[in-house]
Amino acid sequence: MLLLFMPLLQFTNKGIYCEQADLYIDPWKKVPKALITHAHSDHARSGHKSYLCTHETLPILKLRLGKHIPASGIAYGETIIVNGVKFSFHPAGHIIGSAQIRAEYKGEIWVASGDYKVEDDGISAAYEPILCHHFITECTFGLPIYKWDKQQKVFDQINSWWSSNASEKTTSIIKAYSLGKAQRLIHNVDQNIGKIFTHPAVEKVNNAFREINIPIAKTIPLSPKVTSKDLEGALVISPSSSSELLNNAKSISVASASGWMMSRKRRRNGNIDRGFVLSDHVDWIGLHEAIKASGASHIYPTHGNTVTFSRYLKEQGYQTEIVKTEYAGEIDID
Amino acid sequence: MENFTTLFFELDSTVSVDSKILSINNYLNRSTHKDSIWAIALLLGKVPKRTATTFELRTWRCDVSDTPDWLFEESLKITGDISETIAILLPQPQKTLKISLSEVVSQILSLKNSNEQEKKAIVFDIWDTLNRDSRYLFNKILTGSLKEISSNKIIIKALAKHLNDPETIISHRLMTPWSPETVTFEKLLKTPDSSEALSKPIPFYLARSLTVNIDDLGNTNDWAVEYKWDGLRGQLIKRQGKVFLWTRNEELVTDRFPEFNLIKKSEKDNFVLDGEILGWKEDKSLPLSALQKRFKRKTLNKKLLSDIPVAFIAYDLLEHNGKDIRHLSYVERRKKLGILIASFSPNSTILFSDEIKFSSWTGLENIRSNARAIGAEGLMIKKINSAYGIGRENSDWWKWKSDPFNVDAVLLYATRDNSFRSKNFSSFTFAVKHNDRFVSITKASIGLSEEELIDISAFVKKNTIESFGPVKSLKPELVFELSFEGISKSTRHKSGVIIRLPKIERWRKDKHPHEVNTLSDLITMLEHYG
Repeated sequence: MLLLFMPLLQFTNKGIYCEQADLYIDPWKKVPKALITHAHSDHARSGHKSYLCTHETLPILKLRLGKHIPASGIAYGETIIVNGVKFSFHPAGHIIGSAQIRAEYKGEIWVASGDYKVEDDGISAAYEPILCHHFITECTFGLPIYKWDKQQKVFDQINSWWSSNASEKTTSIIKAYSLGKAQRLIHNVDQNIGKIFTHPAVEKVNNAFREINIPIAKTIPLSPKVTSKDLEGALVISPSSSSELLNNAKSISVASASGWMMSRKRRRNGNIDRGFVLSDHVDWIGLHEAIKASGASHIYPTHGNTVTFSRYLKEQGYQTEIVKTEYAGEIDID
Repeated sequence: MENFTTLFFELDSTVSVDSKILSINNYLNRSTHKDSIWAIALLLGKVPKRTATTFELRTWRCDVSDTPDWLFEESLKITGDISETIAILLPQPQKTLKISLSEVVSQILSLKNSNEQEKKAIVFDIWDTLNRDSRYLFNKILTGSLKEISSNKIIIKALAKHLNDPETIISHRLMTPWSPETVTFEKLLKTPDSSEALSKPIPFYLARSLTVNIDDLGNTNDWAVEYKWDGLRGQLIKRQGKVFLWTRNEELVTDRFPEFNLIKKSEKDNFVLDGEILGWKEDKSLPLSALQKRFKRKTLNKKLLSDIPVAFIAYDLLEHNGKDIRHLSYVERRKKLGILIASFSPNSTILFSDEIKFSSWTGLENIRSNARAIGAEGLMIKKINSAYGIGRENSDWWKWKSDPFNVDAVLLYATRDNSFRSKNFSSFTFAVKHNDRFVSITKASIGLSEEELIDISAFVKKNTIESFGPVKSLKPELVFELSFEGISKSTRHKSGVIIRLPKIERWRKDKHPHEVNTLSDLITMLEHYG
């Protein structure tokens, strides 16, 4: 009866697999049944026969993979049972709709974190620690140099940069993912400073969220009709700073908001005017908090600094196994 | 300290000169003089001699931070900076008191005479007081690894604005060697000091490039002509028996050129000479590259001194035996200069910059086109009745450079603009023919119009052979005419030559890649002029 000894979740070349329920979590190859932690493209791929994700992720999944994909939504905390395995989705705090996926079978509990951060960003459902035996955790920033300041401090910096640009009629551009970082920025910047423009890719996501009544503040989509006068002193949220839509802006200051900005070298080599340390991934301190709070004794670091992080955990007395996945973590954009 | 940290990161995050001046000004307005003098020194790269090594910091860190050493190593790979890594990995500071920049620096200086235990205690104490960014700077200063943050020019402008004084005065006061350890802000910047006056250079009079037609200068009798030497402009001062040599970049370089120190004893007059520091061997000038080699070395050995001897080609006398004679005419000053130099000992390395005799402007054009052959880069044309001015204010001195070298070369690599503002390629590597292949000779980025850049970028997209990040290697097809100011030998470059100040003259759409110049053409140029 070898099967009895098979772990509940296994790591296969298609993704994280639950044999008992015959389904995958965030698979990167085409499979019949996929549970999706969040809608970033490295976690939510096209071509699966069925998708299950949170209600908040659903509209983005459809926006990105097609209106008619066979996908359905589930509420945070709601349980479904597949062949005896209990599955539930819990807030991961990474972006709007992002979830950790909990799987329980015969008293054994696994949690796949997807991407997460422990600080409440004010717009995504805040991360909740889930007790488990086995914790599959991302570790994009699994090095002790990655320590985030409280978000308010970072937004104070962003606001003062924006308002000082605005006083000189300069357009402030922040390069940001259209899903996640963009909405976090829009929600948390001081909207009294000026108008906020968005790249069409950002605006599409904003509108998809607005349709399910997630309150995204008013933004103006960039278009060829936007004049240089309109852009004076405004803030632009765009995945790219070299968009033709920005040709009208006379004087610009470009910033990047990312965890990589922690290093002075990265700030200086990034062809940017300012680098703000703002990440939607958990930092070194948060990783340890999360692992501790999960109560798990078996830790599976996935994407990021897996080798160093896993070695460190071993020294701390955890059982760890590095898991090779095809998730990308936080990519430097542009 | 936090004020200085803010300033540092503001300067670090902008390339705009105006914003930098504004940041420095804001700093000066909100800081005490005691802190400001240190801030200015640090910005200029005047960092006190290190009192701890990065190795010591790394070792001490282990006592207060629980990050294991191997993990420190991994982190270091990412930041590439020990000071930064330590600053981040230390635990949050517990002390709430504020400590000023001058206090931090005086603590750093005090470590000079401390033993390891005392040093460690003080460093821990400061680590526990400063935030992450300030710690980073503290570590940098402590280990003597803080690099120059801001240029002289920017600081002079900011100080001039802050003190409401002319820039020339500020630059004068900053010119002499000073140390924040021994001088106060008031003393350095607010009080003229007569004992300092000895070494102080006189502001250089700068020539303008000849933009008018040479005939428009009028009567040839009103003008004197000298060669424009390809060295370093300098000012050689001897006052009360002390010798100082300054470059035009306001650098005091007396100790790099011991040759001139000899005049201390041998010549009895005092003087201030304006002239050119030149590599000079067997009555001939050496290329600028030779002089630069000598200039870069901090310590001079016998071999270097004998391989690259220098001379000072004096072309003007500004002060003679304590008397400022700048108001005299060119002719009068030169007459005095001639007499002075003639009085020097025969083996003096101070030479007189001869005047070139010419009878017509056309005749002068011929002389100019031969200037390169004798190692000059062109001619200087000076009005004979003119006084020695300040800066680049009027048109009494003209520089008339020889025509640049020209070469046709093929475009081999294109690099995308490192500014995010443009999608076009703007930096290019050019090659000449060598046997059946192309060998790259230089990179150039100036000279093309916006339209041409767009056309070239379109070409690059269709003709890329290989990509190396932002660099694309291209099918050799487009030919350009390049001009450059100088050529010298290089052991580092595959081609064996290095060319100076290349500029893209024009796009030779009429030429095929097989018609470009050959490497042997360049070697010939090198043999003639290098």
